[in-house]
Formats: sequence, structure tokens, C-alpha cells
Amino acid sequence: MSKLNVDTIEPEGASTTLTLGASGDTVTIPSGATLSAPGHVIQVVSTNMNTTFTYTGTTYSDVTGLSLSITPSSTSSKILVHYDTVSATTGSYKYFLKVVRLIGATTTDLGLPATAGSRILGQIGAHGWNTVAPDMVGSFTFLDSPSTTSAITYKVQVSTEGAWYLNRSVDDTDSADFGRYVSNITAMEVAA
Amino acid sequence: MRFQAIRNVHPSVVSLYDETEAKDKDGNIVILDQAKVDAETARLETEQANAVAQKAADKQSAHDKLSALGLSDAEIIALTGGA
Repeated sequence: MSKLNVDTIEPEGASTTLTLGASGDTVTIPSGATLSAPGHVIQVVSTNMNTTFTYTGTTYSDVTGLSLSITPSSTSSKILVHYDTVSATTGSYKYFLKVVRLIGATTTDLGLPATAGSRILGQIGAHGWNTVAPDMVGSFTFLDSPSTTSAITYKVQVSTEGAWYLNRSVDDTDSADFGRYVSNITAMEVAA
Repeated sequence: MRFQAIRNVHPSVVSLYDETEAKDKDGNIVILDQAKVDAETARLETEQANAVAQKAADKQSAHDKLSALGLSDAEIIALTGGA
């Protein structure tokens, strides 16, 4: 075992390629060390929610279980936030979802459309008039620039008319006619 | 059905996690009266079954009355959109 102390390693001559190790080798970045690799994912946190959740209310409220916490290693890092849901709803089959950022006691909306009168702003939603209540898949991705190295909580919130059911159908009868599902939220720290 | 039953018994409940953990709008856990919730669930299920049965009976009754007036099955379907 030997140790090399240098400030810079560069390719030799006209080459622009620098290779570390060979096939089968392991190149290790010690725990606690920071790898500066702009554009690369340097941390991933994910929550798979496989339990059910039900909500009723026309104001946005947290979806219990569909949240995560991540602490960026640098203030310049971006956080790619993504969530998927499988849900159903009663009433006029109307629901709206959004993901918010929580740092300390400060909650910030992320990636919402521009204000449009009294319309409810969401990232995922549905509004139907039919008499059926299908299980609906929703998906949203947003690149956040939180500019902090403090712990961040990303959480999904829901607003609905009637009752909104996550990871299950409206009719949850115990039979092979109905299913149970999984929803998830993932945050990836991207180095700047 | 169960969530509606919970709401009927405990009107302050707005969310239910994992089919067991009920909370009010302020996030406080609401202890459920399971016996009352189960009874209300059964009542709602019976009410729904009765409504479905009544709808089927009304449909058959309407068909029979139209048929008695001399309409053929094809004419009844064309008129009502169903048999």
C-alpha cells in the first residue's frame, strides 16, 4: 500500500482520457468524502409506500407515508424529485396532487403551473363526470434548486372532492376483482 | 365504504392511513369505535345492495310495462338503451 499526494492528475501527452484502475478493480470514494462530478447523481433517496391512504378535504393536506428527507452535500446541487401514484376517487372524481419542499418550518410549492383564476393548481389530477371510478396512475418530475445543505423533506399533498384513495380502488372488497398498489417518491442529488 | 362508515361515526376524521390510523384535519389521531364503525359499514353495505336490487327491479318493471304496451324488445332497447 502506497499513498500518492498530488493536486492534479492529467492524461499524458496529447491524450484526453484518464483511466483509474482496470477491469475488476474497485475505485473507492471514502464515506464522508465528496466527489465533484457535475451532472452526475451523487445521492439517491427513495420511499416506496405500499400501504393505503384515504383522504377527504378540499384543502391540500399531507399524504401520510409519501415523503422523504435528503440532505444535499453542496448548496450548488440540484435535486431531481419524482413521484408516482396509483389512486382512485369518489365524488366528481376530482383530485389534485402536488409535491412541496420543507426546510425547517418553511414550506415551498414546487413546479406548479401559473395561477389561472380560481382553478386549483396541481401537478397531477383528474376531474371526471362519469359514474365509474377507475384506478388512475399519476407521475411527476421536477428539478429543484434548494441552495442549502440543510435537511430537506419532500412530501406529496392531496386535495380532493369526495374521498381519495391511494394504492387501492374505491371498492376495496377482498376479492380477485380488486387490487392493491405501490406508490413512491424519489429524490436524486445531482452535482453541479 | 369503510371510510364513509368511519366518517359517519367520527365526522372529524379526514384521513385514514393503512386502513387503521385515522386523523382529523389538524393531524390528531382519532380513536375509532370499531364496533360502531363495523355496524355502520354493514348498514352502508346493506343500503348499497338494496339500492342495486331496487334499480334492477325498476328496470325489469319498466321493461315489462313497455312490453305490455306492445313494444318489441328491440324497440325497448332502442328507446331505453338497454334490455
